[in-house]
Amino acid sequence: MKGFKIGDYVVIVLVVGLILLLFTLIYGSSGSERYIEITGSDTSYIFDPAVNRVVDVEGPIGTTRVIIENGKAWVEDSPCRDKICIKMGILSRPGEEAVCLPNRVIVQMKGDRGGVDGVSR
Amino acid sequence: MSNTGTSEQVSLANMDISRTIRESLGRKRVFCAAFLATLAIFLAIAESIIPKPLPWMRLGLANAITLYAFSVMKPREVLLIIVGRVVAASLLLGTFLSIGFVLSLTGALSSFLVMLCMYRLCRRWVSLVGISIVGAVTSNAAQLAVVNAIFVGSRLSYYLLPFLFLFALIGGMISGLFGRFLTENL
Repeated sequence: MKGFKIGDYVVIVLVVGLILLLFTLIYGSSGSERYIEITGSDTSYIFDPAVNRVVDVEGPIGTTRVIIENGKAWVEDSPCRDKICIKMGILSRPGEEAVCLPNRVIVQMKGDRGGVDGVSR
Repeated sequence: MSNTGTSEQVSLANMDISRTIRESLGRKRVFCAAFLATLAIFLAIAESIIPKPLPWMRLGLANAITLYAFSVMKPREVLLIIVGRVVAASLLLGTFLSIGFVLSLTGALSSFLVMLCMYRLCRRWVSLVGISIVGAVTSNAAQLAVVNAIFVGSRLSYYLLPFLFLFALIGGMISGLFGRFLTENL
């Protein structure tokens, strides 16, 4: 373009490179360091969300069945009365959790809290 | 620019502004600074009317006046113009002493420092467009740093960073072209 000097192109290339670098650094690595933590009454386990499996956790009133599938996790079956842990639904994002107090089981999706909770203007 | 006669007249008439500013002394120079600050305030208010999805996104047209001022005024006077513009524009927009005001002052001062250094050191290789882009990026980075300092632990700003830099690139280019247009034609 007219009137552009060599340094202008250098500046533009550097800034575009910086933008691309930031995009890959901030948005590229999401999901890689997530893990599922299941806490029972006396022990806790850590699972890789990428590996599909069925976990049976023994608690004071019975067995709570947790299913891990395709990076998501949910409580399939629980001996408790209110079934709140089942109603929590599918845990897919870091920070979500399903808790069964009667059977002392906590299922947590952990990792880098990527999502934005809210924006105030 | 079809009519060469009038365009010549216009540019001749305009040439006087730059020369008047450069040659004026003392109190007259203060008036010149006030004149440029007024132009910058007008641009700042005008661009605040443009709707924007995020409060931080600005075109930075007032920055074009800063770029022009570099060519006709001393750094001290440019600083005066910038501070005057930020304060007066915030008074008119009703954001004086708010967080937005702190942010715009931070952005304006940091970009002033960087652009001054670039204007002094590498004027030969970089035109006003490049200087303006660097200034815009600096301004955004400094504002984010302040946001992070005020809202400790806010991760939101990290996720905005690439977008802010993208808008800074576009806005900086536009205001840089505008600033060069002013420098060449005023």
